[in-house]
Amino acid sequence: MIKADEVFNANDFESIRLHIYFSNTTTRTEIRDPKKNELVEIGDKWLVFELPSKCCAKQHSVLIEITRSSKKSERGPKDKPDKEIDLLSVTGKVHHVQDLGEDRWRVTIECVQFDETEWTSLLNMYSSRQAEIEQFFAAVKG
Amino acid sequence: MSPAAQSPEQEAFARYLSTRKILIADPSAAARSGIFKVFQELGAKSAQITLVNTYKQAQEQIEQVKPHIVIAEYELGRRCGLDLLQNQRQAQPTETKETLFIVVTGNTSQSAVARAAEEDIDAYILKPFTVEVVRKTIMKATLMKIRPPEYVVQIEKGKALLAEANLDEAEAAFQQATTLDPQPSLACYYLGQVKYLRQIVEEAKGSYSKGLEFNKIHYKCLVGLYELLVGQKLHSDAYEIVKRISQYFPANPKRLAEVLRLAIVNGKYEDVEKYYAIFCNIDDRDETLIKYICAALVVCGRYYLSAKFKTRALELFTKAAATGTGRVKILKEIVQALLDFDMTKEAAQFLAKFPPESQSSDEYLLMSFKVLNTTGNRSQIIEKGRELIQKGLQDEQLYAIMIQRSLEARLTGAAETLYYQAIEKFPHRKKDFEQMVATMYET
Repeated sequence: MIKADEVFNANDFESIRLHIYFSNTTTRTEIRDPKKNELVEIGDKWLVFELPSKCCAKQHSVLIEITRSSKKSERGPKDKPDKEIDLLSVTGKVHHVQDLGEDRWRVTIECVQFDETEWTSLLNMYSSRQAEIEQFFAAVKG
Repeated sequence: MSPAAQSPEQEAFARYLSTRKILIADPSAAARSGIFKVFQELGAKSAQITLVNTYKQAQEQIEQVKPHIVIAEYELGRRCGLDLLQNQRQAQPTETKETLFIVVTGNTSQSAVARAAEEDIDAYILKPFTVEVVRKTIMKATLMKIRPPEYVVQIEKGKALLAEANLDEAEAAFQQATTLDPQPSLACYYLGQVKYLRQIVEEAKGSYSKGLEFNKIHYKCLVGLYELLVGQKLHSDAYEIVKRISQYFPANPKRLAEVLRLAIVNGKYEDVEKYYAIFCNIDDRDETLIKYICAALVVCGRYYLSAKFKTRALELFTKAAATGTGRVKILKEIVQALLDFDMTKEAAQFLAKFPPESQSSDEYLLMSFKVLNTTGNRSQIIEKGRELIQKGLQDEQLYAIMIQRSLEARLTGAAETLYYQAIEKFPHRKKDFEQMVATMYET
């Protein structure tokens, strides 16, 4: 017998939502609002972001902190709904900057200093979910 | 990548890409740029790649350019990228069969993934992506289209025969297909379709069920079975299947509406309340979901009124009103239900919940009049009713009340005029209005 919460599960509606906190340690400026920053690509020890224009220049040193929104199941009774979970803290150098227009830049960061376990965790979080999605698609359409 | 290093598949893929039109729709300029580069590296020509950042632009490009490959973000402003595919299927069904449709998105939720799978898109890529994943996924999806395995070729052959209504040969093709894959659920589904068209319902059911034995979440087999059971009016069995579908394919509001409808048809009102409890835990509720849940709560409330569980009914109406805050249609249904069961005081309480900005709306004015009909004196009612009719409000009950009240006040001329207006506007209620004024001639 199927229970109601198996049919209609609130967890199914939750998505990983990343928050990117960007600080330019060379110019001592930062982008405080994580909604303005987006992590687009992950490479072999490099990250590509979409950021507001003029936030940095080539060779600048940066500090990036990546967190994610907590799920309901991860929050205690005293936790706020906007509680964030730390994922990765990276010190890096700006490798490449591309002007995308509309005051947005594509910035490639070469990651210089970070925790390997956190890095692997972040990669696995997405690679395992990608693999699950591919399996699900194969099963659904087969 | 030098040509010498390419495999035959890679060469076929590069040749295919070199002549294809590609559309990339994503609000993120960096994502568009990244995917653009991947396609260039894979062999696509820059001039053939169009980049857009809104749903509207994407739709225009699909209509004008007719791209062979569409890469869309799931969240395109307020619209869903999947709606592009739905619209394209309706507008250009033939072209859509040949089009590759891939979602690239930061939305990792199972509800989004399930919805995409239901729409039968070709691939779903997560952001942040790695170039390798994008490359591999696009290649795999494309090769599946341009060099499909024998199993898929046989099924497509069967589908073409089915479209020509050549059932014997279509059935043979699908039977052949079942030998070409270790888990031939899709072939079983199409065999079920053939049986259904031949009106051999039990065999159709057997085929869908067999498909589900190979793969318990095969979407087409689940939906095929569900539609068959609904057609046979086996609502209880259909309810169990649609619950199973919803288990694996969440967040489809239409599916939820069916779950709710069948729950009500099968008298499982407590299930509706359980779904509501879960619904309250969802952060991102879309408008359609809210509408269906509120409607189901109101229908359940009406049932409880008829079964004399007034307190339970009021609890559900309160939940529906709270969840559907500002949605006047929900409030209107609640007030009407309470009036139908002579709960005038409670009807007035829910009438007061109409938001101020809606209190000049037709829904509010009519409900307000209907409550007045139970609380006010006759001359107030008649005066108000005249005002509403002069305003142009069209409602059967408005006219029915006005005819009745006019007769009570011995305003036979007015009653007769209203009668003729009513039968003209609501011809399907002619007999009811005739019965009302028959008393006028008797007395």
